[in-house]
Amino acid sequence: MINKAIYLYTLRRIARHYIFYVIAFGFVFVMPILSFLDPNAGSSHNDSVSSYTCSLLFGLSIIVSLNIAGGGSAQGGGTDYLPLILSRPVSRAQYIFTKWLTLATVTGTVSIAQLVVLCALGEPLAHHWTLLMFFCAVVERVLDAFSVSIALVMVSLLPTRQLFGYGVIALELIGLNHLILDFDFYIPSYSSTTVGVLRNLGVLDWLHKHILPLMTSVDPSTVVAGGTALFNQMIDLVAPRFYVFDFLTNSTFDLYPLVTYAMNLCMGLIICTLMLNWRDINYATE
Amino acid sequence: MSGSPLIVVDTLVKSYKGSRKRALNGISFQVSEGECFGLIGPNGAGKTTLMSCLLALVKPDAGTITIGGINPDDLAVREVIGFMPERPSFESWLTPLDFLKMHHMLAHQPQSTAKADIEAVLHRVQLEEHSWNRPIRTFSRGMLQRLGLAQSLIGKPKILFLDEPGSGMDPPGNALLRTLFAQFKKENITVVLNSHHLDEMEKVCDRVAFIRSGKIEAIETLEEVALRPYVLFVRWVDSSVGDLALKLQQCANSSHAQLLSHAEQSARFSVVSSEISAALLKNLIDAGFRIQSAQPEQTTLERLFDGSHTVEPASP
Amino acid sequence: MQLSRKGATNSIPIWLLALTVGLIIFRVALLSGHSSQVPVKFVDWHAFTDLQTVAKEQSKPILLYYVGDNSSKTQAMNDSVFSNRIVAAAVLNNFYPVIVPGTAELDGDEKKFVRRLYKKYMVVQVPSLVITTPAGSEVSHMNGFKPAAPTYQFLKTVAESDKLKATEESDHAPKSSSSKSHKLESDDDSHGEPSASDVMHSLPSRSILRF
Repeated sequence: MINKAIYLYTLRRIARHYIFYVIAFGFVFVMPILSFLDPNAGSSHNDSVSSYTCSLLFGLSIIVSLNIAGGGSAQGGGTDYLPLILSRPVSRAQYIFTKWLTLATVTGTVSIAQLVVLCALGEPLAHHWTLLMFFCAVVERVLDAFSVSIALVMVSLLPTRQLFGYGVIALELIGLNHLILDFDFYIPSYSSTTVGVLRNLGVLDWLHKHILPLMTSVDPSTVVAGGTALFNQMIDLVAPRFYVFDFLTNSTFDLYPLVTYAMNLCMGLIICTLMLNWRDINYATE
Repeated sequence: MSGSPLIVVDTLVKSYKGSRKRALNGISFQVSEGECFGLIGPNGAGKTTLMSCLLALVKPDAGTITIGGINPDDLAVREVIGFMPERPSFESWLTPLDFLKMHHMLAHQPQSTAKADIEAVLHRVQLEEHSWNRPIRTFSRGMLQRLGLAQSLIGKPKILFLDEPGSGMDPPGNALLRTLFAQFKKENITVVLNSHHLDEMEKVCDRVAFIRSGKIEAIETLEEVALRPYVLFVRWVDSSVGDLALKLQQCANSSHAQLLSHAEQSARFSVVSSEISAALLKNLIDAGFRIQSAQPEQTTLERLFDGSHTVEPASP
Repeated sequence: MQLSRKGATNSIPIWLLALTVGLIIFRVALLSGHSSQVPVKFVDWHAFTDLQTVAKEQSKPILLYYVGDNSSKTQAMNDSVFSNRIVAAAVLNNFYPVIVPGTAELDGDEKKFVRRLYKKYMVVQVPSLVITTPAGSEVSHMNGFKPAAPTYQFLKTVAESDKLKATEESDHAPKSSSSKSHKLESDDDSHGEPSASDVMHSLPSRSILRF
């Protein structure tokens, strides 16, 4: 399923840009050192050195600079010339798989190198990691690299510069949601969580009046809550996360998160293939 | 050429979003194995779209295409075709050796023969050896065309799709192309050729299809195209023939040609065949004109652009 | 030349389609079981009203678990983090765990007290974990959902940190009149409302909350 020529060629293409070595150096060495030296870091879970941050931001830097998959000449920047590649006995699914694996290789390598440096700095000892936590962290970094790479390939395949820009913004929002917004707002004065806060601020009434005039029987808070849940579902679809340590050590054995992760990964691959299949590749304008 | 058609296109229709007219409007033709089939037409006629459909890079709205009896987007077809686009975009940092090595692998050629195959094809397209290890960004237009040609040949294809292979080529490059086309003929390689170099196409194509506004207006062999009416431009040296216009008209009438215009030492005649052209020249000589030169104003294929034809499209 | 089919270039691999469909069906089948699953509860969370007696009776640092009202993130934390034996052990061995609910179900003085608890430690996100000394001085906090491993690491790190010891020592040191007191018992409200200790005295004691 993986095409050796495209894999090696894409790796070479990334490797020749020295800027990525500088960025990788920052992720692998600078960020762990800064995180470790932070005197206020009461928790070991510093988002700046989380596997998701590393894979997402480093991967974004690659696709923004390089257009790693065939996004079309509208994006500029020397993307793959798809007419020549796709005129070879290479299926579009194979192309997608290979690009995915290449990105996962690069982002996963940097992510694991970051983990190694964190360990060398004494992070496991300082923050009471067990051996199982360490192995689970390695596996999670690999899994995060795989899932983030699907999203990166998806964005790379967008045919115009404008859509590509929107895709990058969407990825950043996804990262924001996973890393920073992994909570509900709560203001005790309003005695409720995010939806309740919106209600008390009058936002829901406004929505009800101006945006949902036909949905008279629907409670706006239900819509917002449902919308938030849907948004989170879509984010999980695009770049799912799977917590290995939780899975292995939880008191109840639950396959659901693993199945969800695997399912979302497979659906991501299919969506990417469909995106490439959908496009007409006119070689005169590529 | 063998009898059975290798490429069959039937009632192909394609239109692009936002465009009022169709890019392809019911195109049908067949190409035999070993044939060199030319596509000519004005800009925007639909030649590139047709090529893209043949390569399964673009999905037609209606109609069918088969290559070797199967759909062109099949992997089996990909294994036997070579494609050279007009103005391809190569990775500028690669050298020709790296670039061809990648395409050699993509074409599923055996790794053991990679070096030999690459060198052989680079020699074949006469790309100078000192440029083999230079980055592609340093190449001239003609060198890029040679590299593009090499890329299309690296997979040892049985069918070639070439779009403007002679674009940017110097005269030795054009001579190289003629040599290559002769070799393709011997090797029974089917070629679908899109070019604006009509004079070159006249020398290599077995048949040409003239496309205008998404439709094929004519499919003819070069001999059949040569039978089309054309304009003969005749020059003579200073000749004392009396009433020039009368004499020219008489010569034209007696040879069933038509006088279009004349100057002191030249004239243009519309002729419908080479025999009439020969008869006209004989009459002019007999009338006392000292003919200096006589040549068609257009190349053979340019006659297709005039839009008139007197013969039926030829069958393969 | 007749060619034999080898597969379309734009087809999706059959195995990938089959795997995806299989996983979707499997996930749907698991969904009902997953939704109805009752996570094992290892941590006995004490009610917020116990804060009144903690300072006197406990020497362990206090782990305040802010849960808000009907927060899905909190539910996820309950299901996957605090039902983890390793995390539960870290909580029970090192801290006095207290749950701070939202104010939707409360009224009167209890409501005011809980609001002050949120305000005191500037908690605006749930779930949040705030670790304080028995006297109420904040040592560390963690905002938002975190999986089991980072939560465990946070708890263990704070439990064995020098900062905890230093904060406890500063609680016991004599205070100057200008220094702010962070003790829960003497939470003087500058706006003239009754202090937390006054509030606590008037409240009935609550049983241990198990959530």
